[in-house]
Amino acid sequence: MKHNDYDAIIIGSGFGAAPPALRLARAGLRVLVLEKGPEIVPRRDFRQTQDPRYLLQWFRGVDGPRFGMTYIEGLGGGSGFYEMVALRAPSLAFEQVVNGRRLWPRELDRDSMDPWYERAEEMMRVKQIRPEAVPASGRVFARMLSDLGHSCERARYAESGCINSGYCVTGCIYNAKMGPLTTYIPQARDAGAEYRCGATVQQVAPMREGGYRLDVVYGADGGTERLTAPLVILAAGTVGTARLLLESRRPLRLPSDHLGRNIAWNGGAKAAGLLATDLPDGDMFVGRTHAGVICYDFLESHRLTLSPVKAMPLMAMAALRLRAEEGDPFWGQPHVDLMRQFRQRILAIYAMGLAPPAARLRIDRRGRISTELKMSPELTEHYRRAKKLMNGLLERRGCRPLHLESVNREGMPHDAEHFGTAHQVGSCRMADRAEDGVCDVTGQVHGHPNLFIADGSAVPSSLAVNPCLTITANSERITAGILERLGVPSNGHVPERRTAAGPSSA
Amino acid sequence: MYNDERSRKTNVQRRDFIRIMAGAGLATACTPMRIGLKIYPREFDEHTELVDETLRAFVLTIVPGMPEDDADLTRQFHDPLFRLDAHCAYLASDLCSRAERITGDHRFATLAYEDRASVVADGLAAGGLTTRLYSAAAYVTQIACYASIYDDDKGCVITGFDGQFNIQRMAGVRDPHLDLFRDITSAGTGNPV
Repeated sequence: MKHNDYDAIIIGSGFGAAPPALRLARAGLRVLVLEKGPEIVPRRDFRQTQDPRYLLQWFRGVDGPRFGMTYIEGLGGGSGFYEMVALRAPSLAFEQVVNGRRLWPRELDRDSMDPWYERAEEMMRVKQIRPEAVPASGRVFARMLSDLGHSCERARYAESGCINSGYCVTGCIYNAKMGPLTTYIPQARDAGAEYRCGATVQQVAPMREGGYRLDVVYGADGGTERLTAPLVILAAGTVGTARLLLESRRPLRLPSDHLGRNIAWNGGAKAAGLLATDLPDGDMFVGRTHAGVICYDFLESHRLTLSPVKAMPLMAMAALRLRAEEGDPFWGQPHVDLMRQFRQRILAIYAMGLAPPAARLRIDRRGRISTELKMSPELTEHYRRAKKLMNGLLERRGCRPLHLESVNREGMPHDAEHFGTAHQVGSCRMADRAEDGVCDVTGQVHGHPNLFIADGSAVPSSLAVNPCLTITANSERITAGILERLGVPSNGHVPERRTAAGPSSA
Repeated sequence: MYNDERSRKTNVQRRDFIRIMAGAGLATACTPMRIGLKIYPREFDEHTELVDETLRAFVLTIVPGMPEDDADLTRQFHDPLFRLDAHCAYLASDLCSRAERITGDHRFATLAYEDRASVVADGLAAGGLTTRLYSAAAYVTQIACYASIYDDDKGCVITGFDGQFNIQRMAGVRDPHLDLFRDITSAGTGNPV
């Protein structure tokens, strides 16, 4: 066994891992970050391409009969590949109640989260898109809503110097996308944090003398190492953190029945329509990947937001069969006739809503993971209303709704309604009581001092917007709490070395 | 070769179709699909040009309008990512046998589009493993053609997809309506409480 001397080990390197890596390193702690995926240098590694082989270097998926999640294994987690949209969750998101219980811990709401949102926004240079930078698809969507008497907001993005090249989701080759990969991580490294890529943590176990022991495997060759630290922060994402805790359930004696469960994903309903002849063209391929606008008008009535979607061809073809009419073939001349209109005359809409947590992650004896989703009446109704709303808006404005059919990895239609998402949260959710979640409001795993969760897996509900900013803000909040326990001043600077062994579980 | 009817009917052999893979489902790709055992004429193993011309015709049936001289037209069938290579001969054979049954002419590649479309529709509707194979072949074909996955610069003539570095940027945007957002926003910041 190698000797190591870290005050804090962080597992994962994405949105949830970024704040503790930076803040703890700046506070003088010896910080090690373990990332399962490879190192990523945007200007060196990113390409503007639709080659699936390129994307599969980092994109991973876990699927089941009704629910699939996509996530990233690589330095910075999803921050290299997200659409850089960075929105605060609306107040309603924090007030969701399921089975008579508020999903979020009592002390968290939009007001209490706003300072942390502000900190995350400052780090990632979040700003509202200028009107002239809104892509054509966003503009035609805004026009459609305006004609129907509804409002539409210009969205906010984590970017600096975006030239609207349109390849956000394959990684920005101009380094204009802001996120952990381009902001927190370089600063954390400057502050002394050590990042190791290609490091898979197989198990976390408590040590008798306090702190935790991690079994780590490096790269394909499988070199192993056992690391220890008094403070461990889990930030491997909704899939990664849940998987690690499921595999560590025995040594950690995790009692929670919620581990790997209660996954929420914003509902994820889609619609598309052929534009009315009097509406101007959209454009799937010009401007940043996210279409620039979001509509909050239906948040109270339908508990969802609406955004137009600019689908890159690979993503559209890999996920959907598109037909003008239900009985049309999904191939051949009728399909080509439709695809000739794909770029300019098809408007796709995505509904992100406060859908109840309903999915779970399963892991079998051989370590294979899969998902399970049980459609509750509430979820069924949420989805039905979302589809009805979107198709109704299209029809009211004279557009012709198209028939969308999601397909599996073999190109066959799913047997039942299937949800695919990259917005998954909640597999190890925060809750005031141990019987309701995996970690408490401070992010600490119930019953395990100095073992924290700081990523999307702790976020207990759908947010109706992309979760990246909320994950980062919540991690900033959790990190501040850890520093407070360590007795580090709020400015984050400590003149002398400290260790994480000091504070108790409180 | 294939025109030798007697040879086509007598020279058959079993082929193991286990582990066909159709999935360009990106993040969840690379899971095997079991196809089972099939039988087809030996010609389709011995004459790669027969298979290739049949598959080219299949592609032009799935995505009519693709340039016929496109060098990448059938590349997806031999791409290890999609794991269809081992099943190309069977697919070509099945297209030809259906063509013969439906049109009386087994040369699928020489049929008119409408006849080829009838053959493909028949294969897709056949059920079971045949439907899965035809669906998989159509699926990877649409991905390869519409997304131009083998040439970043080529793009797609049907959708007007530019490919990399052919970005029109915002200068190509029509109907700006810049005042629109000032008139219809309810919060103005993009972040309503």
